[in-house]
Amino acid sequence: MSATVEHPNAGFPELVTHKVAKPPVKQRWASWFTTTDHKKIGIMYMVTTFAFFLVGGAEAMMIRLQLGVANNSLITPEHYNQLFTMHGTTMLFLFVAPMMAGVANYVLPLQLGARDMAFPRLNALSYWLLLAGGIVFYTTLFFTPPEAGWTSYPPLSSAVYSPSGGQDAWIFLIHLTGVSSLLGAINFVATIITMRAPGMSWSRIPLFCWTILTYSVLLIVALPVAAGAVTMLLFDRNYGTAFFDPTHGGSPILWQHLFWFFGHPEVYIIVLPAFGMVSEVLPVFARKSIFGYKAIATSTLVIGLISMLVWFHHMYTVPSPAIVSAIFMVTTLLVAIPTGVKMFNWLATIWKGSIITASPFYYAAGFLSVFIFGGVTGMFLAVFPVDWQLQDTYFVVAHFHYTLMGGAVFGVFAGLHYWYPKFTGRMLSEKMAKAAFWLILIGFNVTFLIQHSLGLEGMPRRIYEYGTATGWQTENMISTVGSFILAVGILLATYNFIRSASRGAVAGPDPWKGNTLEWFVPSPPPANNFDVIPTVRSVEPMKDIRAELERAGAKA
Amino acid sequence: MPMRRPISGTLRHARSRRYDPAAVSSSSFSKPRVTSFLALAAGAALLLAPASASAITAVPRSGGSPNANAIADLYKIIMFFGMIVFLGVEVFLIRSIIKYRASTGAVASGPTDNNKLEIGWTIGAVGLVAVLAAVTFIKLPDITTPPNGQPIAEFAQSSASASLVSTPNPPDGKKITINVTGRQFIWRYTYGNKLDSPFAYTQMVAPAETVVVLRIQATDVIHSWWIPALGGKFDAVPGSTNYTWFKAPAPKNAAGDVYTGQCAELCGRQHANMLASVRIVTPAAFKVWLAAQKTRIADANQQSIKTRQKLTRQGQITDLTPPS
Repeated sequence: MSATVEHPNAGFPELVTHKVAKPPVKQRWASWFTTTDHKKIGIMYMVTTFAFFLVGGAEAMMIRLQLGVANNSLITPEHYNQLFTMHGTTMLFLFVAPMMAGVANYVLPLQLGARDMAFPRLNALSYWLLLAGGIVFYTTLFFTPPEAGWTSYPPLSSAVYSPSGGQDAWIFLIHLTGVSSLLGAINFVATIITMRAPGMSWSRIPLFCWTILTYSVLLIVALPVAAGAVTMLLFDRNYGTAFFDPTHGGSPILWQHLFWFFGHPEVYIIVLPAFGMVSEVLPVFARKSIFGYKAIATSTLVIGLISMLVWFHHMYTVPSPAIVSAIFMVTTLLVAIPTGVKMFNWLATIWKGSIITASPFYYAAGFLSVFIFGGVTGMFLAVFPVDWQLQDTYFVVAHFHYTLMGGAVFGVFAGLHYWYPKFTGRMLSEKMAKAAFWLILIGFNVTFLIQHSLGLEGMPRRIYEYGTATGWQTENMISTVGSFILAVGILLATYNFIRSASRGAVAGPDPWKGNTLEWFVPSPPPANNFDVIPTVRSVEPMKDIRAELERAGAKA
Repeated sequence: MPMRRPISGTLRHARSRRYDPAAVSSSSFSKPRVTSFLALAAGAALLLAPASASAITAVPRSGGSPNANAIADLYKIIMFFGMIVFLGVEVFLIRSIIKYRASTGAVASGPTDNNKLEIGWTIGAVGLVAVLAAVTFIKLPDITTPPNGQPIAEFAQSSASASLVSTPNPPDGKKITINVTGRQFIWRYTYGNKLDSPFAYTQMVAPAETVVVLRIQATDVIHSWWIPALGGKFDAVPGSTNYTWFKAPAPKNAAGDVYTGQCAELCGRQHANMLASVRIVTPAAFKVWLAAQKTRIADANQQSIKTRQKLTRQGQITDLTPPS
């Protein structure tokens, strides 16, 4: 170990690995446009996608306001359809998936002991393509936004039924964010394969990096299909082809196959990195190594594989032979096995631990408690005859918010609260973080739990109004009230992120006593990350380094 | 020259403050606060549970048809296993968090690996999946195959168009087929395959205790036929044909029992108002209604022909009658 070491207090040795003073270079604003530093790009990713998260959230609030009472005339049908299309598209393509890329951009090279990503300039291009996609999409606010839903099923999304350019802007958004994600994915795979610290064999890769590897492979497999599908739609709309036009021998169902072949892996692209973040947070705060490292890493790969074989479960109600539905029911149910294995391993990790109840742990535990519900409702949806009653209703809306908001967003919040000291060098206000957590947890459950009932009572998704005879008023009002509690929680967490960047307590390199290499370097890390890259001897290199330091301290 | 404000004292204080890792585990996360939070949450849940239990629906609608009933039964079986998994995980999670907090003096002592456990819960998950799949396949015939109903004359040749979906057929083959056609933003029901077959919009009238097969199509965009109490939903896709069926019990009202639903696939701006309903009447009343509907349509056609001839004579519309 050649890192310089000093320990200001005897009880807790601290590392100072970076004795070289920072060069007095002024932080010019232009550097944000020219940077190829994975950390700066990561920050830009996270700030941009979080901004889109707030925009998408505002759209959701307008949806909930409109549905709060029966026969509401607050929002016109046209604007309502535009709102849910924008909301879904924003959250999936401009928030969750690229947020994972943002966190991974910052954290992954540090965890691997690398000085940057494998292709730094390609990395910058990924970010700028994402931003371009977002701008192209949101420019439609000034013209006519798309209104065929984030799934854009033809013939509704064809030139006849959606003549506005908003639909074309949606297609270009898929193309631009798609190329962005594809380049990013190639970059992650190359970085993980080639740039690991000495001694970091495949069985010592942090679990977050395993999920990013699976995320990247899924993107590389699924995105070209999505790109092909939206190109076919673009040609149908503008150049007279008829891939999806039934009046000229095309098939609208073909679109659904292509879209969901991409769309279902996309769900795991979103949720797997959140699994990874939870797998990082739980052992650190339970003060106990992760239970079943190999089982968790393997189950990640297995989920990734199965996720490419289940797309038809989004299509159980289209005209098709029953045998197809039966096969896809079985593959879909299979997902429960590796996911269950993960869940049990997480629970076993905190069992007989010594739990530090800090905010990242709150969000990780919140993730476990909420995600399990989404997993259980997923079993109902996998069984195709039951899905015939639930498909396209608020039951499905509730289910995917339990998995994507309860799963991915709680996971991301656990990750953001965990790595915030590393990103900024400062601690978040724990008081505010916990208040926000309770508001988000309660608001989330009040908003979405009741929606299962609405679906069972016959409320389809994507309707802008309902009559008084339906009896859906009370449940919708409860859901709307919940969404406001949720919004207050998110805003409080956002305020905490902004305020603590300048006013939080100074964090030091390793405030949580983390297990992985990002905690070896100062917070925020210097441009080159590591002066000396430590040799890795286990899955938890920082534990080894701390033990070594304590031995050195005892000798001295 | 304007004075530059110095960095405020509090800010400077904050910057000089160093984070103390020891504080994380002790003072600021004291036991009473966490416990009070949990107690509060549990109390709120207890208060809300009875109130919400009466207001919420936990199973799909049923009662209008054997397939809807079988789906609801299957749903309840899945819910039974689902609740065990859900409650098991939640109880274990909350108990672990309360019991093993560092602030209570808990020392990390649990295992970090156990192959027997890993294999055990993997087999458990496989078993659950196998049971769910088996139960589904056992229940499936009740959902896809109609039981025998009242014998009634078939009036639609349903096998005329090829479809990927097999036509539902009761063992004795006695059924009627109604064509359901979706278009923005209304449902049309046609009783037969001839040009002059009677039809109706929005509300379908159908006979009770009879196997009614629905042949579902669309003319513009994709719609989805769904009356919850009469079974699951089936997409109406332009260019394809879909089938479902129902067999409703005898109506309780003299005017017939009405089952309501609405289009379940986004079909445009008025998707919310593409409503559907089915009025179930006795087979005898259905025959009367069908004959009356035929007469009403014939009368309306006659009326419109007369109006058209009158307007043509008056020169208000172009004469479209072919030259004799």
